Amino acid sequence: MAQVTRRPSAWAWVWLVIWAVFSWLPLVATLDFSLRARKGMLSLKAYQNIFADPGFYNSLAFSFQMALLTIVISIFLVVPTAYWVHLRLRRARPLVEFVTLLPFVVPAVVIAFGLIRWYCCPPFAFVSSPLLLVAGYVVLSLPYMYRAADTGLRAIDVCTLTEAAQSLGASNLQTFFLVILPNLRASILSGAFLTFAIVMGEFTLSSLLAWPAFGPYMQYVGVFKAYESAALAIISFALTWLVMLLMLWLVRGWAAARAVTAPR
Amino acid sequence: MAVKSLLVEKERINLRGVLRARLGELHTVWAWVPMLPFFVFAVAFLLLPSASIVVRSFQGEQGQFTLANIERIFTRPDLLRAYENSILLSIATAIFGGVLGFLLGYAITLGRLPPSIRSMVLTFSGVASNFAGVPLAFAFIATLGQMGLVTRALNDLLGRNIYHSGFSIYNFWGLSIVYTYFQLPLMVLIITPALDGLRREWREAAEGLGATAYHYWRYVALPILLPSLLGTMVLLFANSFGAYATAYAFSGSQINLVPLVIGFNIRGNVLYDPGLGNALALGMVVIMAISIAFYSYLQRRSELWLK
Amino acid sequence: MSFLRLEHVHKRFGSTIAVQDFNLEVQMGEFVSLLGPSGCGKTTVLRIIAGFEQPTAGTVHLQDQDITHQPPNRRRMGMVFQHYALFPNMTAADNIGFGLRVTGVRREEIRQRVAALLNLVQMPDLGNRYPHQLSGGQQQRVALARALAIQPQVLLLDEPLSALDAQIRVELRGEIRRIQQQLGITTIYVTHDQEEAFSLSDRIVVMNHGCIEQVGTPFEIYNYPATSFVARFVGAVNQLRCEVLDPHRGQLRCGNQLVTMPGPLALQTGAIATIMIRPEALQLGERGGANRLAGQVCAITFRGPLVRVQLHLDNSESLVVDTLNTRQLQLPQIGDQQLISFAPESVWLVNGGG
Ligand SMILES: Nc1ncnc2c1ncn2[C@@H]1O[C@H](COP(=O)(O)OP(=O)(O)O)[C@@H](O)[C@H]1O
Ligand SMILES: [Mg+2]
Repeated sequence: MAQVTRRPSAWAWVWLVIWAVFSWLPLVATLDFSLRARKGMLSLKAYQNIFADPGFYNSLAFSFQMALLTIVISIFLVVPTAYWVHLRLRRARPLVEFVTLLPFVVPAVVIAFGLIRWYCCPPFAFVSSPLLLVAGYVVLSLPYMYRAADTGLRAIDVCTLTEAAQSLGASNLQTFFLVILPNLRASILSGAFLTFAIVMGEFTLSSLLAWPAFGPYMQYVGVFKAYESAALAIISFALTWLVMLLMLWLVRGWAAARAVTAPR
Repeated sequence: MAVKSLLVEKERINLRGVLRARLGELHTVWAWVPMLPFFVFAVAFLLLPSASIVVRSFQGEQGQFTLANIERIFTRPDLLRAYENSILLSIATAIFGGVLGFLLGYAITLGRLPPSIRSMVLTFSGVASNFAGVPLAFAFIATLGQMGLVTRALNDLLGRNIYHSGFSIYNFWGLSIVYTYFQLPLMVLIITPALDGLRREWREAAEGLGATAYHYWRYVALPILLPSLLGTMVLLFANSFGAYATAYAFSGSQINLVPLVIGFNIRGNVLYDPGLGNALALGMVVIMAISIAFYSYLQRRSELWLK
Repeated sequence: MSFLRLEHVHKRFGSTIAVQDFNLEVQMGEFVSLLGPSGCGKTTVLRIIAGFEQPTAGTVHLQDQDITHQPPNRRRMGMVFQHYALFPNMTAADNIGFGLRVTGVRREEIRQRVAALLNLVQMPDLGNRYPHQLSGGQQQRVALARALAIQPQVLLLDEPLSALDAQIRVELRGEIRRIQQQLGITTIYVTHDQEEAFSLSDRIVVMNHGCIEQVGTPFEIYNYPATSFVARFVGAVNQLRCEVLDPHRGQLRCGNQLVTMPGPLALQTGAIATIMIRPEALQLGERGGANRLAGQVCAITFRGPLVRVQLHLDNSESLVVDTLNTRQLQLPQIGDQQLISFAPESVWLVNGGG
């Protein structure tokens, strides 16, 4: 007689192990490779070389600045827009969603190509300004930032909150800064971190617009130095993890704080 | 007289109505003002540059209308080959990543694994789906390159070099494996909520009515999931179709891909030819547009059901 | 011989005990409700009957066959869920026909049976609609028809009406009963709403904390509650702390007032006891029976067919009285002294029958 007890999840474990191997093997291999800069022994030489290279710090600093600028501009552009769409202009939602989805559709190469063509020559000779790179990054961040803001706005009752604030005498701007924004903090933060991770490793735009960002630097190192490039891959992976964990930690902390102060 | 004053009254009401309607319109116009920064930015840095590509692909050197740029793609076998490679690679990795990601998503949602595993897989996927580009290429060269860890291990194990049996990280299948590395986690991230959306009651209702697991999947779960499954795979297709950095970092790659050709064109190499570059980019946009139209159609289908 | 029999069923989830020593026999064609507060284990019992959960201990028999370990898809039990659980990708008709389709019934026969069922649930023209095009009440009708399509041996309903609004709830309630009697189908109905249980059931099982508190007809449950929990759960009840004056004559003292019980008490003189009485068994004035109590009116609540008057007794206990609302009703004023009366037969001792 057939047993009704739920099938054991053995096969789920099997898939998990296959996934873990596929996911971790390249990282392990890279780590291993990065430690073999000295023949016949394990060493941190590749890492020492990287850390001794001013180009590493310069490109990292450059990308870091670009990332911060991108995040600030992206938040400024996207969050009020998303809020307004939720509050007043529901009709505009398909349009805004379409626009924010476009960077997913139009490949980064094409965006770079378009930006260069459009801003190469007068009256918009703009190619040599890092702001064009930032603008490109903001474009790339739109889908993530909008998604994040939208999710956050869906989670709170925007209209009621706004009406409550206004009935208590708050102006539009006060409502936005004192009521809405604090409630969106966690989701904006996750969008910001995602943007940060993307910009830090970004290669397409920075290389085609010829900026000394971290992505092109890694590529450049890769052409000449095998062990150092592996070390860079590890560093970059660790950096992404760091950012991710930092974000999770912050968001969880906030969520927990909110659960304590405002039980639903 | 009474009639006349009534008419006047009616007129006045009408006038007031019209006025109010006009004011209302003004009001809705005002409602768009806070959206201006966003739209101005989008037009300036996304829509206009992209649209200009479309226009310029149909322009000759003096700005006259021409189809020559597009014709040129069809007469150059190397460019056609690049499109073919890009499309096939994207399809292959969408399927690999899609199927494997689905199975993994299934395992962490319905496989009764401990919840901590689920959140670990999701967090890792969040990182791994962003781990594309240059470092990913390095990682795979260290793994499956000529001197890679796995290559050497297999060499020791099987006593023969997989590169002698036709494998290479630089050819089509090699690149497929690399791309799958970021496709799979993306699939997991997108499909997990869809799998969570399968309600336990549906399975139980089906079982109570005498259905076997096969019946349930065949008639209920798969039809419900199919739109989001296909939709996500279209997204994966687009994701790999536009990937430039990973492909570029494999500079020794033997296969030619559309993003690379466009990149060469921008960098002003020997290949420099603005008209052709426009047309190539247009080709990419068209293919992406078709796939995204398909995607949003499927998306709407699935939202219809899962309301 | 019973049709469906649960013996010593236990179920625990980790450290939570969801069901404890559950014993129940259901006759063929009977309508039995599981009634209890949320979290008391009703759903778990239902799911054990359906086969979605395995009991930690105990057995389930259907027609004297042990089905404890039979998979749900062989049990032929139709289940109706709280949130309908219609398959969103199928029309109403396809939903209803699903159980027939997977068991290989011919297409033409499915079509006929589905049409008949659509008629039965009074939706003859809506077979082509998808679930999201139907209202909640209509969806639940389809869910009912779907469960009935397989001609189940037992029909299981898990709070099928609690997601619907009040009017539809009453309407559909009547229809569930009509269909159940028309088909003579054995039915287990889970609800936390005592009114629903009373109006539908042949018998009610009152549960609390995974245990059965009482099994009985609606009349028995309401008028002869076995425990104070049952008494309080199925309706409003007054509880008064009294001191036993004379156990042989059944006399108690409540504050400074005398209350007489219908028979002798198995208690000592001077013992403290709690008595219960339903508000509608009390009457304003002195025509309600031999017992009299006086108190001060402190609240009057108008409830449509009834008016509820709340009084404070002299020992600071309070009491509510439900009076049928009529046009001629003479209501006291708040603050008035008011006499109430009731028959000894309507009083019972907590945990002591009565
Ligand atoms: N799958 C489960 N896992 C853990 N605990 C459960 C599960 N199902 C039910 N419980 C627990 O068992 C108890 C009884 O639940 P249930 O039968 O759903 O109650 P009811 O239907 O009467 O509201 C509850 O305390 C509930 O939390
Ligand atoms: Mg329940």
